[in-house]
Amino acid sequence: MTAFAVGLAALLAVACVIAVALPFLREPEATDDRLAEPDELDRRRLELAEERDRVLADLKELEFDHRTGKVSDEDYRALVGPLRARAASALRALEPRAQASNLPRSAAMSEPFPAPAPAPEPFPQPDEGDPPQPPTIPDPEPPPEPFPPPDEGEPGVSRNIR
Amino acid sequence: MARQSPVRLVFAVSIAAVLAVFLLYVSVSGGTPSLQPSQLKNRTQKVALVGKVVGPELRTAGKQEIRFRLRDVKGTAAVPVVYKGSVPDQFKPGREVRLEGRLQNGLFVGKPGTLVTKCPSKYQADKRA
Amino acid sequence: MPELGRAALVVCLGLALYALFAGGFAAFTRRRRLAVSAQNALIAAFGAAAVASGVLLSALLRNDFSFQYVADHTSIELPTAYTISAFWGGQEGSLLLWLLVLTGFSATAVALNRRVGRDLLAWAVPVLGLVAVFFSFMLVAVSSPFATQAAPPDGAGLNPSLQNPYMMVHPPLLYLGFVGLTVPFAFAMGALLARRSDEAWIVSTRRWTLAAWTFLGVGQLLGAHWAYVEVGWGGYYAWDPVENAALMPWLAATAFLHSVMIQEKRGMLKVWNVLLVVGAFALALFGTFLTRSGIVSSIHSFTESSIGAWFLGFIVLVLAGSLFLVLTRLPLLRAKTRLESLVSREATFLYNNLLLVALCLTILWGVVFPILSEAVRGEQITVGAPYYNFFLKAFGLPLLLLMGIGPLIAWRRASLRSLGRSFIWPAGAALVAGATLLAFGAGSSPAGLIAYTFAAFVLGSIVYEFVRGTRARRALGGGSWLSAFNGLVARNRRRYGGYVVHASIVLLAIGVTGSSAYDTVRQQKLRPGETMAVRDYRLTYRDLEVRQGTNAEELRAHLDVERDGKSLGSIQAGKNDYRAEDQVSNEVGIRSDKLTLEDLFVIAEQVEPTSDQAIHFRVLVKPLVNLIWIAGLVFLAGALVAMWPSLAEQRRLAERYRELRAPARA
Repeated sequence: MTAFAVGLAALLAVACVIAVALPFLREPEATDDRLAEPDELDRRRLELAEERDRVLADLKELEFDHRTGKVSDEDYRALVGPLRARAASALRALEPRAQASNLPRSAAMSEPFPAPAPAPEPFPQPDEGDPPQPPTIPDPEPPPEPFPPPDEGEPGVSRNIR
Repeated sequence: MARQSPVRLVFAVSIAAVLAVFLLYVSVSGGTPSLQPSQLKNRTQKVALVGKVVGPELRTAGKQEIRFRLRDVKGTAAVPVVYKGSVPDQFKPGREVRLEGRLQNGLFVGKPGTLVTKCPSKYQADKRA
Repeated sequence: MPELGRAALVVCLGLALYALFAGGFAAFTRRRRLAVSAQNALIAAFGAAAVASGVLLSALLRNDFSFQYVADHTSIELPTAYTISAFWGGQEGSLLLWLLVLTGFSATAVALNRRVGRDLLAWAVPVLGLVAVFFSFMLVAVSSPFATQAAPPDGAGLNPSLQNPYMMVHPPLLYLGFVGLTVPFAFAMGALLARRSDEAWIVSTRRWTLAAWTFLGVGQLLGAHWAYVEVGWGGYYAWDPVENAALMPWLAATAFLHSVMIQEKRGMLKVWNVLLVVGAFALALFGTFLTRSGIVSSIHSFTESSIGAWFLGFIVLVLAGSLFLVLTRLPLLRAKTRLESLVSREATFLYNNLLLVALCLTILWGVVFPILSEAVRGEQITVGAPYYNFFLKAFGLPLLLLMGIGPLIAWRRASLRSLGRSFIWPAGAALVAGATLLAFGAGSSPAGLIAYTFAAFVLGSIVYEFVRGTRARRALGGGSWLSAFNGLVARNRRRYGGYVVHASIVLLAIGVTGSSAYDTVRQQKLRPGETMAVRDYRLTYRDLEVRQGTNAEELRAHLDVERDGKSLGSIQAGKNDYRAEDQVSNEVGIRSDKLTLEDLFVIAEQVEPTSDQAIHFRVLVKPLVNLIWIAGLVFLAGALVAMWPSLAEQRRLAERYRELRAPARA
């Protein structure tokens, strides 16, 4: 075995030992050696966050499917109400105090929503990537529809639940 | 929900359907037994014969016909074979081949188009010359 | 030098063992520094594997025949490119490639998930370590590429049919696919071990699965193309067990890619998804096992080398362990929702899954049946192409139809009326296409006609989806059609990339249908000057040329091709006789028609050893066969679009899982 090979082998061995020992070398006495793990509260929050994202994405996709004609008017009317209710409760479950102060009272009581008029969605949309925002009061006149087609799993979308 | 999820029902019905289709097919066509010359014995049904080619190979000029003997891969039991059809390039005495056909009066008559040679697997240590 | 390689492999094994045991212990006792240490061990294992690979590669390039592996698979005159490809040309080298890619992917997965998915990673590391232990153990103890011998003057050389650009890239691509499936598997097991019921493991491994699946798909197509042009029997897929070895995990991964969407959307099918990812990984291992041991040709060759037994044992361990985990974590995997309607997109995804898995299982049965029958009855009963083709049609045609139906149906529930409206255009296109084809004589093959009609339906539905989406987007935001189209695809990369992939599968189906259900074959013996007619082609055999190539004696028959009175040039077909390797290869002549995408395929089957130079020719006309290769390009494009990272999505997902860290407790 050539000297080069021996040297390389030694180097490899040393490098591996260092790599493995690195965390211990960096923190010989770690104050907190605990591996972060989601506790019950975290898991619950994660579940709720996933549920919220899922419902909001469903809503967005429903709107888009309706717009493109995949979902008929009756189907849309039948589906959108319960979906909005679920969205409201999902948002509320995640940030109960923030919600209660901003939502109109009817939504906070999650009454069954009247079927919306056949005209499409009246609320402005944030861009994708914005974190979930509390719902805002809508404009009085029907604004134009600026919202983009749904992305897969669109995040928090501001919704006014009327 | 009081009703069982339709997902399970769909699963069960599909499995049953697949099995039904499968059994139907297998019972209609069946597979071909793959035998070596020593296992042929007196079988006259259609089988696939696997073995090593033993020379001399006699090719009939003008016709696509070849006669040779086929022996067990690891043995000496051999059977005469006649085959009509195009012969793969790799065919030569010592190579392992496979062909379909049936035994008629001690002579194995091959079905045209079924003669294939087995090339040594490129992943196995092939120490043969 | 070989000692360095062996040492590097031993170091790799040691690191993998550390990752397995220390990593498992760290995850179990929740020790942070030890968990990070185990992660580092995986990264270091990649370094060790790289060193070992470097040793083998340098030995190959130096033609160092004291390495048994180099002597067995290369020779002095072998071109450098093929010398490099000999790395994975043999059993030991291919295992080393597996290990290299595995450790590389593991290191990458660790690096990518270090910050975001720490707790999940903590459990995924021991699983990755376990797989690395298996492969490094095999390389150290069972099948080492660093065995030495007294160096012979020259090596055995590479099988000439493998000296082909396609055969250079086909195995590495397949390996990237096989090994790529390990990461989703490890994360799935990690999620189970960590007792997590959320979607983090799916989200983290989505692109891994997609990438592995793409590699497998492209790798298989390249292999099929090699078989078509190199082996030259006129076909591209022979249902050989080695070919099926790559198809089965690909089918399982396809099913998984779809069912994962249902889980994300509706929280259903969690158990099914875990089982699928385990199945895909197990099939990848099984596929590696099939191509390594000679088990399918004969159970006796299986017992000749022990590598088969080790592989089988590991597969059994993986399956048993995963099933145990699933069973003990079953309550975590309870579905949150139910399937609301059998007519909904979820339902079509479910049917698609069932068909894919059914096809995969029937292929598996066809592969395994000869082994079982030999073990049980002492007689190997093989199933041939008819068996596979039957099931391909039985399951493939409905799958083709579903590809068109799925995108047109809404989630949750679709009323028949809205369905009808969505179906009108695509169904109309299909009927028109079907009727036209029938008028042109496509009725000669009922299955072919059905396939074409379904294909038209799917293409129609895909185009319709793009048009509808672009139109809606344009109505919203204005702008040109092009910008609306770009915006549509950019905002929905997974969906529209997926549609492009569907289109590629349809093109593949059309190509396969055309070239197998509507092909023409003629056999004739020609003497120089004689002509044969195939379809509307006329081939005249001119002469036979014998020439000396670099390492073979080349025999070429020259033929003139004519169609409808017009000359289409000439074509050559013949054989190469490789004296040194004692092998004869078929060199077919292919003329591809750029307009009709059909191929004229000429095989010089037998050259009569008489003086009149008569040759038995076998000529095939294969309609639409080039669509298959074009489909491969479309497939790649669609997959890239689907995989393309989206900043917005990354941000959102990072934020969702970062919420975990937020100290929301009072």
